[in-house]
Amino acid sequence: MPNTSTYPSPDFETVLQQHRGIIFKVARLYTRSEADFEDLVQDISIQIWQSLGNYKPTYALSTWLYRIALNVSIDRLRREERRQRHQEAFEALPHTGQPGQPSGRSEQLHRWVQALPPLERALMLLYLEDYPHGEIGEMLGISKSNVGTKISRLKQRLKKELKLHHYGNE
Amino acid sequence: METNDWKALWKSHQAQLDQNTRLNLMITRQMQQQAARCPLRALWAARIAETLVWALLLAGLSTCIATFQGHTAPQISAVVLSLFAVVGISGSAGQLILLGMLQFDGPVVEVQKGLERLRKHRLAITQLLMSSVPFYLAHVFFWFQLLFGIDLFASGDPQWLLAQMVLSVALLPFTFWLIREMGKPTPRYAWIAGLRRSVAGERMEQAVRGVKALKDFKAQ
Repeated sequence: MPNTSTYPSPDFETVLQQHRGIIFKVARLYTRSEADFEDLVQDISIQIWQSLGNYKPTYALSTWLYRIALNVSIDRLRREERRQRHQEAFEALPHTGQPGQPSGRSEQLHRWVQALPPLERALMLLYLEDYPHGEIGEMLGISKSNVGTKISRLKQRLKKELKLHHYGNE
Repeated sequence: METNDWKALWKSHQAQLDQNTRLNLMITRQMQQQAARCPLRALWAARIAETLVWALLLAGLSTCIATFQGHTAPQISAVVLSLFAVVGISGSAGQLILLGMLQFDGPVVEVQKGLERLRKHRLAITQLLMSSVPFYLAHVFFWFQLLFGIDLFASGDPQWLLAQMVLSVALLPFTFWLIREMGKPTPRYAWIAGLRRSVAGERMEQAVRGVKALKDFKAQ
């Protein structure tokens, strides 16, 4: 793997260990089964390995990793959608197997984000991960004001959805 | 529920899910084999194959140009068809260059646009082949000479030849209008979209819509 950057490449295993949370978060959001999740985690890891030679510290490593993870995931999702029929928004299987089930509201929030179109999904993920609008815009390649407008609209939709769900359960 | 509550809920949900998810570091020792799972492998293979096919076509046509000495119309036809082959090679080779330049660590919208444009390439090939339709006479003259040894221009009925040439010229504006319509994300007429889908495939159709969706996402 040639290093085209003038900076030393970070160690691959160290990067994966320290930032595996980013890979898991993104892969979880763009897959609907454990098998697909594991496949996507591997695809993202391979792409990180292939791209490490290009890493420049002008970006935070986490920002750089999110870009790769999102690009691989969205591309894979588009390719998968070409083969599969459209699935219902809330058909997602929760990733279980951990001690203690996530609460109903957190699962509902996860499913709502997972049901968004691929790019809106990325936007919402980065927002919930507390990235500032400017950085989100840089990661996605859109303006900061565009990020603000889109997040505002998504928040309105989410509030409405949570309210509907709350009254539906009463 | 307030925004900060959502963020806190989201983070605790992710932390719970991460507890039992393990990263398989075995892949670090198998990178050579795993690297073959490049998601763009299929695109690379398709473009390389395409470039080779165009190159072979051009080589064949060049041989025919030399062989058809003394038969002006077939020779000119071979030259015309060669021009299309040159355009085809340039297009496929250009796609290979774009593939080589694509970096997954770029801004998401730009990288995805690049990927969808690469997949839309099938439409460009379709448009190229369609643009050769008004030049169908070049095919007729060329193949008659190659397969039957008949110079149709020299031995054909002059009135028939004239009628074919008029038809060729008449086909030019319609063909170029059709090519332009086929390139639009939403063609004006449903039959054009249907034609595009049947000729270039659903995958290309999705790529065309994908590029539009990316442009819409970037716009405020």
